[in-house]
Amino acid sequence: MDIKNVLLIMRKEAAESLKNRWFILYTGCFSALALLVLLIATSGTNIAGFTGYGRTAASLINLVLLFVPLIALITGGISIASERENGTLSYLLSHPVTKSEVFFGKYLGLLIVIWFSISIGFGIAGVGVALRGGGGDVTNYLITALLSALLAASLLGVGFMVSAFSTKASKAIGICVFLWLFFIVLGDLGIMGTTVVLDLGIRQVLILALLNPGEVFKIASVLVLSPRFEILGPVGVYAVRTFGREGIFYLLFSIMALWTLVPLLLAYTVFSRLRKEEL
Amino acid sequence: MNRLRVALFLIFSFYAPGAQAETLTVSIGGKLSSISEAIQSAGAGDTIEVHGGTYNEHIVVDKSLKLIGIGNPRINGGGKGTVVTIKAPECVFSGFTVSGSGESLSVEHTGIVVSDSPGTIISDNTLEDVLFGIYYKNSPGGLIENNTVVGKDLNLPVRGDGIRLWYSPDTKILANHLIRTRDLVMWWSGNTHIKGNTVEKGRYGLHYMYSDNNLFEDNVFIDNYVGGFLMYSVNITFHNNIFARNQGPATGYGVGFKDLDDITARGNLFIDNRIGLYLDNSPHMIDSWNTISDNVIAFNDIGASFMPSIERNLIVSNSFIDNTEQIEVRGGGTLSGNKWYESGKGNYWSDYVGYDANEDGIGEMPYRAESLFENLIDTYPNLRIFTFSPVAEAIELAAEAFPVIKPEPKVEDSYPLMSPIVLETYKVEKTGFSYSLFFPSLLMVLIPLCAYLYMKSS
Repeated sequence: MDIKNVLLIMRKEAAESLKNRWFILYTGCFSALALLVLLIATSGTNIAGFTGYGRTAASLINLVLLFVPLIALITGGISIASERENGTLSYLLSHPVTKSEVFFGKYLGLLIVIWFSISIGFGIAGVGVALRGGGGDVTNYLITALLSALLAASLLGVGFMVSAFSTKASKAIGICVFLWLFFIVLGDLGIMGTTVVLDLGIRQVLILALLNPGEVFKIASVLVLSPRFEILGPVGVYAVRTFGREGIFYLLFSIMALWTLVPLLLAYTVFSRLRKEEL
Repeated sequence: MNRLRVALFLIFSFYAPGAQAETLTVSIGGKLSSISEAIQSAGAGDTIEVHGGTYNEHIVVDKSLKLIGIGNPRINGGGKGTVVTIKAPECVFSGFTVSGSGESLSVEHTGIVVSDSPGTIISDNTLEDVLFGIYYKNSPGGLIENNTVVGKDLNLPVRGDGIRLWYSPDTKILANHLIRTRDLVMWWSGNTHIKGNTVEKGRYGLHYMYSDNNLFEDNVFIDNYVGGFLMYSVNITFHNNIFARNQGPATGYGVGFKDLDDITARGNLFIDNRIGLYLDNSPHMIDSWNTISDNVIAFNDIGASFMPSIERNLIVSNSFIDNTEQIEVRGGGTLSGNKWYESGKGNYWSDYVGYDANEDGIGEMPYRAESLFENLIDTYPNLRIFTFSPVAEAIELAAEAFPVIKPEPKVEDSYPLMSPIVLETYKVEKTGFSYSLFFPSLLMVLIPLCAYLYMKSS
């Protein structure tokens, strides 16, 4: 694998995506909503020197959880499947580049584009709040942005996995939309229902929740934003007591890393085994 | 005539020696260089002036004396025992720095102990490196004013109390500052007035039991495990206090009430605590009502937490602002036995979504705390892990769409206020322009844009 070629593919992929209208539309929507949420939540006031900024950023977490996984999954889902469908992939591979260079180049290119969107969204919202005069802890804000970037990286990987298994882009998109719904609502809803019916203990709820990358992102963000982990109830307290204040972050980052690497490598394995006539 | 006067004077001074108070002066290198010595040679009612310097001794005041520090003298116990013990009524101890008590919790090593000494005044002292700070035992009618107590740098469980009253009613505790101690605590000490104190970084900012008819006002309780926890008392009035950032693990109450009757809580600020206000079996007498009005309860994880059986609280004109959960009923249930409005006026709720058609400041639709997700987490606390997840919103949406799964409201306020009432004392002010947020955010916009333009050009 030649890094030069990977970077070349990456730039090509990024440049193509940036020309795409979805990028502008998506970035615009995300920025506008982030700005709106932050402005409504801060409304620039404090009482006797105290602000509710932690809760503000919490509403931003919700927005990120709805937007970022959707775009990451669908972008990933389209990536390989559509090129296979159009036949452009075999054309690309007829050039002196290997499959691995194409694969990782594509992943990095798309990832950077999504990161651009997230960065611009957080940036515009931050500028707006600063102008309106709603301070807050900048470090926490930047860490939330960083966590969003990690979330995008892992779900883009999942999208690539779906794409590598699919022959048609439409099928890949369908699966990705379902996965989005699953990660964001259905999975948690299932855990909640099970907890109520089977009266699950603290450990079981924690383990089930940590299986979901969306939930991992949320827990990490809340722990960053709130000095009191009790906000997540007995399960949150148990997690922090068991793993320690720093340990829990290592754990959450490791889960996020696994959710990035495992699907991506699985996708690569499938992709690299495709025969020429299957491309 | 003159001779007669002198004779009379001599006779009176002989028969009433106390009426002719003497003043003794203690100073380093002076005729009297030890405070204990001065106490021994003094008579009841005398004044002892102690000049600046460090006195390494343990002091026992066994006569009614005034000890006045001039130039901030320091009394150092050298890390052993109790430093100052007062055992006579109506003493005054003022203007000293007291430091270096022992560290035993079981025998209660203290900075200043006042024992069986009614009417004793402890004022304008600084206490440092002491286990307990000021400890009144069986000493009613005292005054503790303008002292600063800084506790030893120990873990919370092995610290002592900053100020402790034990069977000492009618005491005034005014304008003291307690830092890093355990509690400001009172047992069997009614009719107490606590005003203008600041208690920070301790366990309980204020803690008392079996102490009736107390008034506390204008105090600040900040960064403690619990702002105040009041138990088994009647007729408690507190107003204009600030309870902020009390965030102890598993506790973190701004104020907690346990078996408390006839409370009047007015104009207090409960802000950024884990739980702003916690009510457990209060009031517990069948004919008692508590009044909780004009308080601001803002930015807490839970605004007010109630045990499900709580009744007979009148809760009006309060402002519930941006608490993650405004009202919690532990274990689920409704709070219908309480009054959330009176004569057409209720509370302000920042999550109220109604409207005010006739512009009288009162919303036309009742405020109902009836979140399905909140009901779930009140009943199954383990589900709190899903706070701030989209699933919480999804569940609310489902409850709106299918009213059959909509829960009974925890609280129904028929006259919700349209705008918050924040007392003048706690101004709501705008925060200024934030450079530290502005520039990183600007960079976050500009860097991708530049990269985009660069890619476009090449």
